[in-house]
Amino acid sequence: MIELKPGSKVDLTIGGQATVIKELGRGGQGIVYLVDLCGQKMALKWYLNPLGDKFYKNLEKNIQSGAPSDAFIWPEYLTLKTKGYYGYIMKLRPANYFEFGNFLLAKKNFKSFDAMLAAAMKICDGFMMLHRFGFSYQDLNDGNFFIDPSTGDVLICDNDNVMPQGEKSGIMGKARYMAPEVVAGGIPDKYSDRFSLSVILFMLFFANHPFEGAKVVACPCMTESYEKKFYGSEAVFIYNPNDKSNLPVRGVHQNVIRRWPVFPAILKDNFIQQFSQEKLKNPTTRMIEQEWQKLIAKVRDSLVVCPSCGEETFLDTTSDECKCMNCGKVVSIDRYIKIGSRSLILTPNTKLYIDNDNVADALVVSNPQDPSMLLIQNISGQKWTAETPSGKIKEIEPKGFMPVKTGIKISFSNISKGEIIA
Amino acid sequence: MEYLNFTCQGESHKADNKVCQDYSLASSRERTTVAIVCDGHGGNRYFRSDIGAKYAAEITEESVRMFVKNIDSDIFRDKPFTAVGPIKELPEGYKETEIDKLFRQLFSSIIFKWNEKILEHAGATPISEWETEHVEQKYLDEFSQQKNLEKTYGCTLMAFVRAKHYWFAFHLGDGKCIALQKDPIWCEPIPWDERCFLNKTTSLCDSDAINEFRYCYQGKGNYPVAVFLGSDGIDDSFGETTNMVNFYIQLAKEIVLQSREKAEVSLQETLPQLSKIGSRDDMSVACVYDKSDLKALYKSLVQWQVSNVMAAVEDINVRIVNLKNKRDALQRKLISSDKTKIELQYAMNDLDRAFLQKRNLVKKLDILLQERDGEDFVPYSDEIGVDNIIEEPTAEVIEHVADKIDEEVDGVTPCTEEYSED
Amino acid sequence: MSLLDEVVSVPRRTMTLFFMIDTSGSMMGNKIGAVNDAVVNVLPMLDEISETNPDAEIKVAALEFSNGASWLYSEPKLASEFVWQDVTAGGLTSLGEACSELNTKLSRSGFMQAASGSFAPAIILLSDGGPTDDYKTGISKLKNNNWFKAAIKVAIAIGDDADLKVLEEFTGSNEAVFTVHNIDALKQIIRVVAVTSSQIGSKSSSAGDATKQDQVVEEVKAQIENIDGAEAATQVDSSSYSDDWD
Repeated sequence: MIELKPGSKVDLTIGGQATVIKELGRGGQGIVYLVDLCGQKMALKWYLNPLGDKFYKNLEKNIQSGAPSDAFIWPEYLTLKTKGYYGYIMKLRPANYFEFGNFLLAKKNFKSFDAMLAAAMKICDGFMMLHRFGFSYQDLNDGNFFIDPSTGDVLICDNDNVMPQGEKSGIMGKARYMAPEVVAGGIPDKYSDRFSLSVILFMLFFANHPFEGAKVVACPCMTESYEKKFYGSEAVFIYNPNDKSNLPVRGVHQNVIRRWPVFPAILKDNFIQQFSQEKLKNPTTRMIEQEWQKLIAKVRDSLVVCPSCGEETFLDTTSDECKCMNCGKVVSIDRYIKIGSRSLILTPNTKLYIDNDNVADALVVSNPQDPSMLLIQNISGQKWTAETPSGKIKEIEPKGFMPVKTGIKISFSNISKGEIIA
Repeated sequence: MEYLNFTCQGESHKADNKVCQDYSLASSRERTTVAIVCDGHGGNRYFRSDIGAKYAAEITEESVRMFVKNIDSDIFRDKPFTAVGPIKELPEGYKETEIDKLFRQLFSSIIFKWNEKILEHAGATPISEWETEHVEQKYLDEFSQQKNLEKTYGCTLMAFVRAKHYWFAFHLGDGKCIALQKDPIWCEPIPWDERCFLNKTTSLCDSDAINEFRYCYQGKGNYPVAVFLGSDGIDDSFGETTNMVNFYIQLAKEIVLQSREKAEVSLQETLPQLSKIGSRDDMSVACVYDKSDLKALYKSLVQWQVSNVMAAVEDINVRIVNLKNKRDALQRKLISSDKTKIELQYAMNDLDRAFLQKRNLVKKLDILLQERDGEDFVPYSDEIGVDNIIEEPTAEVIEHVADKIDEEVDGVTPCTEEYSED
Repeated sequence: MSLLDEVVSVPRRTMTLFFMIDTSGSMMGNKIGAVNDAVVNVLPMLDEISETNPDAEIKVAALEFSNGASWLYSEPKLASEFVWQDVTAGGLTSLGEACSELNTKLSRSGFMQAASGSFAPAIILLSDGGPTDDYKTGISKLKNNNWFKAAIKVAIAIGDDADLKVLEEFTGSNEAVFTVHNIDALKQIIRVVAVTSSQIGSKSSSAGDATKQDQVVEEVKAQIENIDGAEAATQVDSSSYSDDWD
């Protein structure tokens, strides 16, 4: 085992050297150091028990192919081997991003559901891009994700275990995040990644694990054979409607007990499906990333700011009366924008996501002159065009406003067009 | 490894004809010694907390024994003393270790089994006559609907476990755990939770109970010489922790000088008396010790007691000198207002009281000095003496303690009356 | 053999009752006279509660505030020994400073002892006006003080000029603010509040899950029904407001 000291230098495969400044943290596989690389501060992950040549070669290949998206803190440079030891260099993680584990222990909380949904979208996107590049994850866990609680932006770290699909890195993941077939000894692939994605999303929304209920905590010590059972062959979803043997436990799984009733049925039903025995046993039937994104978009469409209490609430527009989940007052759903089959309810301070780029495009505000009237602000970078009921054409520049009046037709872009109903 | 424990009903509960809500146990087998103290909450809302405490203790014993039996003890190998505070107080970015996860599983399991057990008890045990008579209707109604059952049985939990290769202790709620060891001679190994303050405590019945556990462990082979777990009835009787430590040392000395049996009898005689003159609450003590190590520590224990009383004597000397100075200054004032007269009277009364306190302290000190020095014993005396002689003290005496006076605001230390029970 | 023999110390548990008294200029005359009179008369009653209470003894501390804030004595005194020195009125209403001062003493290095074995203090605030200094800073300090949070807090508003909002902020509840309209009521309510807080505050077991403060408020409410010119803050007659809305 070789640890690096401040001031020590490591040689890079592309030539040049990085100088160690200090240790940033350590985990099971290695130590992360702050290093100076040609005047730039970077992070060096240094393996304490380096794996064989295959792993090294894979890192080299991943560096060449580059990051699938900006969500990844990807290996950028590889060091030469010194007495068999090596590491790689990546960008530093900004201080406003916190490890997912902090959210699970409620040490950090999302500023809003809006931010939580943004994080979910970003994670789906990351998985999608990863698979599009032909990779799959090997060691997925809550330590991989760093999230900015105020915006929901996500950084995916520890990407050294990303392998071409069908290959095994040699680093075993944590059973909690592995698909049952991988727990049973199978090779991770995009299908098992999709399972992991469902787990991660569930944990993001509910801050508890989908299989960790009464069954898992009945035993005071988690041994490998128990793990294999509870996350593999005998995994049961905590809210499985047909099998109530694994319900969440009071005093232990308090997050999910508190949050489950809050989220819209479409989301909960989907989790029930994804974690049903059928999908656990048939990996190819699991939901793909794009489908998740569509679902999350729907959930996001039902999120508004309550005009009475100013808190966010999900609305079930199929029920007779939509009530705020915080204050219990009725929220009017009379004013909305229709875009295709979507209905975006308009209440003051609600953000609207028109396209799929996970960035809010519009903000609903009260008219300062007459608070009973609503305005829509264009907070996208694009100019919108609107057609009034009498046929006049108006342009709404970025940062510009338009009134909420029934019959106005808006072209947000060439492909997405909406109509205001008020 | 030896152990002992005792629980008695509190004086106030005797008066109100209420059952004892504390429960303690201690046992040793298969080279694992366990001590547990649980304290059921007072107040009629928690009307079955005595049962809750008993179950919590029994379940904990069973669970920790299973834990010790099944986990790989290597995980504790060479681990230095580590104390982990309640989750909320852990620093940002704290990384959960494998041991943390093991404990989380153990605690989850205890909560789960306790939930199950009280549910079973509630189902099998209808509301009694006493309960109908004494408990508010709304709580009885909740109970009948099986709502918030955990509150009905609410209690705290504290445990110490000494296994073959390691030891650990954990705590949820109030009460105190004190360890005697070589250096420093005593400590509170488990971190405190600031949420336990005055009559407020965290509890097994809290919705977030799992995150309220604090714990500590050590696998380096050195064990505390003796560990004492005491319910809050004990520490509330003693005020300052050193008073309680002093009490436990008396118990430890009894074990060394007499026998386990004699010490047990003493404890049985003492706790009811302590309740009477102290907190009036239920009283529990559970203790695990190594007799030969305790024997070896005997001298150090007496020495600590001597130093402890010595420090109190020094404090009282400072107070005496301050009061004398104050009295003299007030007496010298030419125009004597009402206020001056009152202050003078106070100074004189307080001085009498301070001397009385000092006489008591010196009595204790002499007993301890005799114990420490045997035939070489010389009774304690100092320049200030133990009697309020009206003569002025010499200038040197005042100087002798003058440096201490500066540390205190206006020479004030809150005065505490003391009981010395025969 | 008892382990309590010889060398073990079991201190008596204590509950401290704080009087915070507004001695600003507006209190001059019969108001301050009534306060002096009432406190002197209530002290023997507190002593009696202390004497007959097996749970804890009662100590008293008093803080007066006008241009500044000062303690009558530099440490809490036993109720039996507390000699009341009549306070005189004059100057401003430095409630903020009084709060800061109280905050310093609500600590181990101030008037409080180890939390183990201690009882939450009871604090009675008397005022007839509004603060003239930066009371927000003072109160915000107190709101972070664990002893203050746990304390029984009751305020007595003397006359119509008292700033009820401020007193409410201090006690954390509008129900814990009682208003008096005449001198006799003032005397009586000081007695009722001091006695009730001491009785409830120095008992170790509490019934049900009502906080001690709530219990004191309930008890005081019940007792002042018989006092002319004293009212609980919530008993405002709604008819007096109806005129403005016609």
